[in-house]
Amino acid sequence: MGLVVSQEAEAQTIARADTLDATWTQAFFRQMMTIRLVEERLLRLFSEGALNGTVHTCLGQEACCVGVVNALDRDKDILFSNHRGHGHFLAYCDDVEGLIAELMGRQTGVCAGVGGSQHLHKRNFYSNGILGGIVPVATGMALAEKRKRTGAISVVFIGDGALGEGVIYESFNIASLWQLPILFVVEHNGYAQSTPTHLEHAGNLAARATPYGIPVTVIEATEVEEVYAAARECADAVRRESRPRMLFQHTHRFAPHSKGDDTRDPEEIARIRSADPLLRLQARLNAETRERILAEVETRIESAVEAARRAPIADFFALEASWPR
Amino acid sequence: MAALTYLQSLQQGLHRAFAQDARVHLLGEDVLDPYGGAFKVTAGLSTQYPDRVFTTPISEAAIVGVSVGMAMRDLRPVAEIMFGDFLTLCADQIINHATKFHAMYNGAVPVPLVIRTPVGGGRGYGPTHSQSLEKLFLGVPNLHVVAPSHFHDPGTMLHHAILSDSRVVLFLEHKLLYPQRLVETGETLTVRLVEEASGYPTAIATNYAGGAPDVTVIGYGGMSLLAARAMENLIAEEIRVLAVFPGSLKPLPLETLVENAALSRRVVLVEEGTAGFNWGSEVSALLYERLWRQLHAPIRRLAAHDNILPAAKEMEDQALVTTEKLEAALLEVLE
Amino acid sequence: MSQLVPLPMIGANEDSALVVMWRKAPGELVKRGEILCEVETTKAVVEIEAEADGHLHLLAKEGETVRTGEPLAALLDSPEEDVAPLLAAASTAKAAPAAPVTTGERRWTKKAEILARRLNLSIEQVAESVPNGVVGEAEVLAFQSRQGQTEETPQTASTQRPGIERVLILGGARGGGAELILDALARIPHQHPVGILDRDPALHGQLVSGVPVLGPTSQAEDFWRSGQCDAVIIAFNSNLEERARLFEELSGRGVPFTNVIDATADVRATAQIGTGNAILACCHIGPYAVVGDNNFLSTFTCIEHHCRLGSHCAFGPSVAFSGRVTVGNGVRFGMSIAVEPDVTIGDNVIIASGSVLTRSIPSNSIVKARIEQIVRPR
Repeated sequence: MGLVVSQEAEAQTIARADTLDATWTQAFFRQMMTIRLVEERLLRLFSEGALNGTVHTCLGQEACCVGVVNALDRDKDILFSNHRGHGHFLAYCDDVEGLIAELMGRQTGVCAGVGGSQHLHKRNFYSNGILGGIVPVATGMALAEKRKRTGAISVVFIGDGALGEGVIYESFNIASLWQLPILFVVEHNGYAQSTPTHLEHAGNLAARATPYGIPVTVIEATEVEEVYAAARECADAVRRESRPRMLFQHTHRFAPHSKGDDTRDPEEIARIRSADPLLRLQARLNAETRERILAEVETRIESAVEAARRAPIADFFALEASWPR
Repeated sequence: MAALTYLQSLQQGLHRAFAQDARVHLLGEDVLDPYGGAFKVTAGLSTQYPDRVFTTPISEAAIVGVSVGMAMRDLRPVAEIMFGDFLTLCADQIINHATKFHAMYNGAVPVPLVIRTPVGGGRGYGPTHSQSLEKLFLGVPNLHVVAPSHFHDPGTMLHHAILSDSRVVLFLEHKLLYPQRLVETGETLTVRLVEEASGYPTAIATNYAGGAPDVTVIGYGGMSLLAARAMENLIAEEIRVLAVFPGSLKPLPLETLVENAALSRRVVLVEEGTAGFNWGSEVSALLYERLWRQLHAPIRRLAAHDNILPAAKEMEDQALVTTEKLEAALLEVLE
Repeated sequence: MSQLVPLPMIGANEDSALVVMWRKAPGELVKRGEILCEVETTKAVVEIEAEADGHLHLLAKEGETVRTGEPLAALLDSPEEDVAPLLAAASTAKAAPAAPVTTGERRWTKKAEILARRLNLSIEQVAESVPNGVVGEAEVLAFQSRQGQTEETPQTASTQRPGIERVLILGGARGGGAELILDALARIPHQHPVGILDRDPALHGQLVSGVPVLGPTSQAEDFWRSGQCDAVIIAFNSNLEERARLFEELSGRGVPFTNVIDATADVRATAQIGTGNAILACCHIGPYAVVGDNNFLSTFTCIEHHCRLGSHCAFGPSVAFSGRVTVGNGVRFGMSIAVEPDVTIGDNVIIASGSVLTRSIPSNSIVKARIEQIVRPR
C-alpha cells in the first residue's frame, strides 16, 4: 500500500475568509456561546448527579478554542486536546449531542460512553487525560502526515501546568529537529489545578520552546478575532514551512480546575470575569441577533440533554466484542 | 548449509517488512548505518530506506509517543528501545496511551505499533542493563507480549508483528540469543513449530525420538539456551525432556501447554525475570486448574533471585537461572 | 618466548573483528610495540600492537573475521618453529555431555536411579547384576521382570505409558455406552477417542458425540495393526457373554485394551485395576481392592476395601460393595444394590435392582429382590 499523496498545500483552496466580517462575528459568537452554555449545563448536570466522574470546564477560555480552531482546516488537520477539551471539541465538530451523551455515559455518546469527558475522538480530533503525554503522540501524527504528504498539520493543546512534564521537551526537540508540521497551542490561565503559576514554574513560560528553535507568538486571548488572526498566521506558517510553531495565549479560567476545588480569592475571580471574551464579543452584535442565537443554543442544549437522558447505556462486553481485532 | 543466526533472522524479517509495505517506519537511538543499532538489528535498513528510518535523541518516552501518533495515522511504526531496562521510561506511553486509544475510542482507532527491545543478563552489564522487565507489562490490557526463542524463526515473528498484528506488540529479544544459530532438528534435538491462533507459533523441542517425555519444561525467550543445553546434557542420563516454548506470552496458547504438560504430568516453568508475581505464577495457576489430579508432582518454577542482578559474573550466575539450576529442577520433579 | 596474539576485547558489544590489513610480513622479526595489523569493528578501525618480540606467524588472513580472544597470529622465537603446540595448549577442549560412566563411582544413569526407586529396587543390586557397561532404564526393567511377581506392585506413576493414547471404542453406539465413555474421555487429556466401531451398519458414517462410527467391530484388530489406535475398550454391555468373548478374542491376538477412568472417580493408590475397564463418574475403588478386566462400572459404583471383582461384569448406577466382597466373572448388577461384607458371588449371576445381599450367591443364579410390597392400607 503506498502512501497517500495529495496536492501541495499552496494549491489548496481553503474555504476560510481572509478578513473577518459580520458573518464571522456571528459564527464566532454562536460557537463561543455554545461552548459557554454547554459547559455551564454540564456543571449543573454534575450537581444533579447526572454525570459520572468529574468535569473540567473551559469557561472563560472560549476565545482560545474558537479563535484557534477556526484558523485550521477542519477537513484534514489533526487536533489533540487534553482533559479540558470540550471547547476544542465543540469548536471542531459542533457535536453538542454527542458530547453531552458521552458525559452522561450513553451509548449515543461520541465514544459510546467508554471514553467520557477526557477521552474523546471524532474524525481527526483526539483527546486524552494524561498531562503532557499527548504531546509526543501529536508530534508523531505530524510526522505521519508529513510522510503521507497530505498537507495536514497537527495541533496540540496544552495548559501551562503541562509545561512541567519532561516528555513535552522531548517532543519540542524532535519536532524541531525533524521539521514537523505541528502547532503547540498553550493556554496559560495562571493555574495548574489549584497552584498558581509562580509556585509551579521557574523562568519565562512563553520562552519554553525557544531554545529548541521553535518561534513563539504570544497573545492575550481576550478578543476572539485577535486569537483567530494570530492562530491563522501560525497555522499557515506551519503548513507552508513544515516547521513547528508555538501559540502562547494568556487567558483566564472562570471555574475551578474541576468541580469542587476552587480556592481562589473572590476579588480575583471578579476581575477575571470582567475580561470575559464572550462579553466583549457580544457587545458587537445587536441585541436581537444575540437573543436569537442565545435562544437557539439553549433550546438545542436542552434537547440534547433530554435525548441523552432517554438513551440507553451500552453493555461494555458487547461493545468490546464489536471492536475490530 | 548452516542455519541463520537469531540476529540474521531478525534482520531479514525487518527488511522483508520494509520491502513489502511502505507504511513501515523505524525509530530508535543509533539505528543509522554504519552503526546499525546497538545490537545491529537495523543494519542496512537506513541505507536502503533513508526516509523511513529515524535516528532519535535519547528520549524513550517521546520515541514511543511519536510512534503511537504515527500508528494512529495509518503508518506501521517500529520503535526500538535500546535496552529493555529503559521500558520504564516509556511506561506511561505504553500503559496510558498506546494500549488504551483503541478501546477508549470505542474501537475506532487501532494502534498497530511494535516496540522492540533487547532484554536479559549474562553479559555482566550490571543491575540496570541486564533486566527482563516484561513481568511489569504482562498485566497491561490490550498489550501483546512476544518473545522469540532460538527454537523459533524470530524474523518471521517480527514480520508478523509489524504487518499482521493490529495491537501494540512488545517484542522481546534476548541479548545472548543474537549470535546463536537457530536450532533445527539435528542429531540430539528435535524441534517443530506449532501454529497458534495468535499468529506466533509455539516451539516444541525434545531430546528423544519417540514415546512419552519424563518431564515437560515450559519457558520463553532466552531460556531456550539453557533448555537446549540441559536437554543435551540429560540425554546420557536417559531423562526424556519435552520443551515447550510459546512465542506469544500474552495471549497465552494454553491448550498447547496443557496438552504437552499432560504428556509427562511433571512440569518445570522457567523464566529469566525475578521471582514472584510473574509469568510462571499465571501459567502454573492455569495448569493446576486444568490438570488437577493428573499431575504427579507440584509444578516447579524457576526465576531469577528477587533483587538486583550483580555485575560480577560469578555473582550474576548466583542470581540468574543457569543450566545447572534447570537440570537440577528437572531431576527434582522426577522424584 | 613464543606466544599467541589474541584479538583483544575492543568494545563491550563487539565479539569479533575483521582483519583489514597486515602491516608486517610472515616470518618477519617484529619488536614489541610495533603495529602488526589493522582490524575493523562496527565502530572503528583499530591497530593491534605486538606485546613482545618474535617472528610473525599469521593465523588469520586479510578479509577474515576473527572472534574476540581467538588468535590472530603468533610471535615465535624462530621462524621455523611449529605453531601447533601453542595452539593446542591454548584451545579449550569443549566438554562432551557428561557420560555417567566417567566418574567411576556411579555406573548408572539418573533415570535408572529414579526408576529403581519407584519400583522399590536397589540400584546397587541392579548394577551388580550388570557386570559391564552402564545401567540404564532398560536394565532396571529387565531386572524387575526377572524378579517375577514377588510382590504385586501397584501401578503408580510411570514413565512408560505412551504419549497421548488414541482409544478406539467398540460398540455401544446405539445403546448409550459409547456416549458415556466419550463423556469420560472429554476430561482426560492424555486419552483421545479416534473412533467407534459398531456392528450396526446403519450407524456407519454417523457421529456419536462428535466422534465418527468407522465400521464394524470386526475391524478392531486391523485398526490397531495399521497404527490408527493405541488401545481399545468395549462400550456395550447388553450381552455380557459377547462382551467377554470379544475381549478374550482381541486380547488373545495381542490387541491392547485400556481403562477409561472418569476424572471424578476415586481409585485409591493401593487398589489394583486390570485393563479394559470403564469406570464412570463418582465411582470409588477402595484400598487394596482388586478389579479384573473388561468391567463396566456405572456411576457411583462403590467397591470397598479388600474386595475382589472378576472380569466382564456390568453395573447399574449406585451399586455398593462393603469390605471383602468377592465377585466372579460375567456378573450383571442392576442399580441401587447393597452387598454386605464378606459375601461371595459366583460367575454368571444376575442381580436385580434394589437387592440387598447378606449371604453368598452361587454361580449361574438369578437374584430378585422383593420390592414394592404394600404392607397394609392406612
